[in-house]
Amino acid sequence: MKSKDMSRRKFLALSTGAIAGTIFCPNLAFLKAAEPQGMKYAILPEGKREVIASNCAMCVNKCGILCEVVNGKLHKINPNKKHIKSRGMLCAKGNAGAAVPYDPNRLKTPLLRTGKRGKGQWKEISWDEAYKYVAKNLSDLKEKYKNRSSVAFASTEGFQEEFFYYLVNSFGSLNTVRHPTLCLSSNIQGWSSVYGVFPDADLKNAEYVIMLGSDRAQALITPDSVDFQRYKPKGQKLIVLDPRFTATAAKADRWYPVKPRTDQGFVLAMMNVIISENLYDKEFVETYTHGFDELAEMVKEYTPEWAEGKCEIPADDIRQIAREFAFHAPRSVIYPGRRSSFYTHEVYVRQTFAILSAICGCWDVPGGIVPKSSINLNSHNVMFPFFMDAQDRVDKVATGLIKDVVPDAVQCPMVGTGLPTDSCAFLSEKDGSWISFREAVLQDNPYPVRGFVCFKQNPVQGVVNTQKTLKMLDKMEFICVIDTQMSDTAWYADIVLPHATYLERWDPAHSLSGIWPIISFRQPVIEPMFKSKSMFEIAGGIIREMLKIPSLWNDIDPADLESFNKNIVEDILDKPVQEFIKHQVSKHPGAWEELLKEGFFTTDGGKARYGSTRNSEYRFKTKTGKIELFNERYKDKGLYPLPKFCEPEYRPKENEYRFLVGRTAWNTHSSTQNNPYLWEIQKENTVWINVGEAAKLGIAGGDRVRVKSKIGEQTLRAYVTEKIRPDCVFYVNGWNRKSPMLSRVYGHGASESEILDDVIDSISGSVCMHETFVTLQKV
Amino acid sequence: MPVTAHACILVIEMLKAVSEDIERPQVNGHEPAGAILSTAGPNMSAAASVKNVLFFLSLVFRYPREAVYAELGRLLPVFEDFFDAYAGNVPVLPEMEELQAEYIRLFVNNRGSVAAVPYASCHLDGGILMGESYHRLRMIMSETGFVLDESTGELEDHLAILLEFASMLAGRLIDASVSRGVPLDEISDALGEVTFGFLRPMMKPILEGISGGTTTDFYAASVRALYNFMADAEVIYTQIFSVPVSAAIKTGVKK
Repeated sequence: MKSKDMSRRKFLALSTGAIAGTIFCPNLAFLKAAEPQGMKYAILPEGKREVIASNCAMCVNKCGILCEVVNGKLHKINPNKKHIKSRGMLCAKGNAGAAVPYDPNRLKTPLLRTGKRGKGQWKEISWDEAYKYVAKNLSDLKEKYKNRSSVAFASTEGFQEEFFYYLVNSFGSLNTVRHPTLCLSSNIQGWSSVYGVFPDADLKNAEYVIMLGSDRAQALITPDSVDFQRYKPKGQKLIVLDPRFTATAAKADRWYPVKPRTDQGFVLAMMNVIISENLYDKEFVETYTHGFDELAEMVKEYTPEWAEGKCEIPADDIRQIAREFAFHAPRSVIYPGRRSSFYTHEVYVRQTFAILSAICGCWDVPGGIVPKSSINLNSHNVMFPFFMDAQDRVDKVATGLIKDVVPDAVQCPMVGTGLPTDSCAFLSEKDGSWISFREAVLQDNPYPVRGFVCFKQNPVQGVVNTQKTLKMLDKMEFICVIDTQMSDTAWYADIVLPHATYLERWDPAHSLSGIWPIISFRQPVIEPMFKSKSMFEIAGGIIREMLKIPSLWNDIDPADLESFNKNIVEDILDKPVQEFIKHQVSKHPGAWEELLKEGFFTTDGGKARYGSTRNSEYRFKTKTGKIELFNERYKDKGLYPLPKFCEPEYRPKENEYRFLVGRTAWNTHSSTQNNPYLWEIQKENTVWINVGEAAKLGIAGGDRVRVKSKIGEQTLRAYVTEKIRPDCVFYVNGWNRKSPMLSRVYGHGASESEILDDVIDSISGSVCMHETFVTLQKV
Repeated sequence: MPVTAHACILVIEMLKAVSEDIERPQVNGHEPAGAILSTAGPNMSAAASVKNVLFFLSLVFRYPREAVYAELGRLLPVFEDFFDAYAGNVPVLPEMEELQAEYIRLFVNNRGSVAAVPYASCHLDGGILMGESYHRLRMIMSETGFVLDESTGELEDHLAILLEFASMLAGRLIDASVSRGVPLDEISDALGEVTFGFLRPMMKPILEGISGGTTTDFYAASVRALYNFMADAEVIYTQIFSVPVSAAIKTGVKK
């Protein structure tokens, strides 16, 4: 190499030559001359400050936020003190949302894969090219397989999901798969089996609260977490059952480190006491319920002494808690909680909770369990075409699927436990069952699914058994991901479309049902950055391109197409989304203005709504129209109509520990760990190990430990503590992402998806995240 | 002798011919850049070279869409001496698709995070976009009569735009007739601030990010050239554009 000094001298000496005379191609400049205003150029306003009301999207709660915007930049997010649902609270995640639009790693422009899938070779394309590409691939798959359901659509909850379903329904696939079977579908199913609906708990007015496995101090749900923090100290009594001493347990009057998988036994024994001692609400039971006699007969065998042998809680304590619960009723709550993706018999567990509430009359009254109310919105009455070439969803019509999903379970415990072995008994038509769906796709059972369009979901990280998810993606001929980040799933896509963040877009109005119902929406607090777009715009763009491909519409009535064009494309998608929202709230005078000003609106001054179902004429959404203590539909399906205790079917072998997973208050699943502000709170996860067990294994706090299941293994540091049962280990989810370039979390902590077995509850189709056993080894 | 000293001597020699017999008004102890440049002979070429190097580097560090890629292909031979001097080798332009993929991987989106964040604000303001410095940059652009074409979908403090901005400012110093009424000393101050307040602080992380993350010599050589050129900028600017470097640094963005 030449001397650097000499080279540079030469360069400058030669600068009179070619370089100096270079003429660049015009039209390549990013910058242009500004037009002067008077004698000066326009100077940007200094310190222009606005406060814009909207709603958070850092998790599912949609808390009220006031965004302080200075010179077009989001400066800070503050809580909206008037907000009825979030009670003026904004958590760490909500505050850290201010960093979301300004993440330099956010998706910026449509990217098309140019190399092998998963190798990270992309090129930028325009939105027009992107829309054409997606529409053509959808059309090709429809033609090739003569089945619109050969393309699956995955999404997770959120206001823009409504527009994702405009795209889904315009294509006509019946294979949609959503998040509930990774979270709370068994909970919804269990409570709905009794009341016909999934209710809320009135923690604001309750006098006595039992929480089983719910950690409301960490896994935040509004208003419950706020009410729990605010009203518990004012005299509310709290009993917590959890294998871990959680932050919620720390606030409890009593904490029981219940043996995992036996909570149901505890509640059955409570019912035994309450019924045998005539402490139940006879009038309520007679007026509103169905099947009490059968229930009373069943619980006779579940004495507190029996339960003590199962769940390791003293029989006397169970008696006392049962009596206290009945004493405080109807202001007693056995808390429904949210995530229930724990065990294979979880629906029966939740059914048991619901029945306890019912026999004590803790229904639809202040301080009890209350059905959600909602504020009605105007519907747009959209009618999508009826497509002939669409087969029913794979996880519904596949044969023998459950055996393949949980082979170990089928061989022994499923028989005689009231759990279906052929297909999921109560599969949601829209949500599906993630694990069953994936298995059906892997098996081509009963037909091939070769397209995957994924909005705001990251199944590579979020669905247990990552390797199977990757195999499923390998089968796809077309993968499109719409997201704000290059997620692990996006990495495997053929095309990635950048979604605008929740702070940059209009979101449609949604009725947030609950004891204190409100209407919520989102408005942009800053301009969309880069070339990101909302799902409303993206759906419109793709659908318009789809309309240019005649073969995509050859299996519908031409009149349907005409109607589709007029009522959906022209009247909705071609107009500003604000028009859509205005129509939604038009039956409430002043609602639009209120939304813009406050970020939400309510009716009746936001008062709680109680008692709408407490009249003898009310018909519950159950088969009998009553609150069903004995479930007639379960009986029809061959399930247990009463929640018989399900013996633990999975037991740890020697040297094995039950693996538990959970959340912290400062992260949402796997989506926020790399946020710079939240990363400051926690830089890696650690595995909780009981002190005694750690000593046996020679593990000290801070040691690196290999956690190994039959699915995989992960390594992370140990947190040696008395706060967990000896037979369990625990870590929070969302760490050790697969990407070596994920600067903050790569190589830090451990991923749960890499070790969790894909066991499901075959009533609701929910995954069971606490049915995996692991061994520990110091490394 | 340090590299910058060599460059300094060379430039001073080039300026000598025009500086001895011309009387110029003094501004803040410095001769106005326009006054020097409007009468300069050889240094006009040096200034044009610097302006064009900045613009060429701006092309190098922007997404190589077809038109950009074609321009890189056409001009790379012209800048051979520049690369030879500042990178130690002349990079080979890869196939367009390969270059595009590499650009995206390095600067736009990667799984997780990119190797080299191209936005100055991220390096100046704690890792996020549109920090305090970003607003300051927009003020400078506005005050000197520039505005970003919104259709680009980019932020003003992107490396490529900063380099283009510096090139544009250099152009206005060379040809006062295109300065559109903005006093030349304001333009030279702006050039100093953009260079020393924005570009220079991001050089080290960009160099390290690209060097550690790239698989092609094109970006490795280009970032070396950029880094070394920026290291010489104080001398070059002082002598060619009469940019009062100390003043520029003083007005530069504070971390």
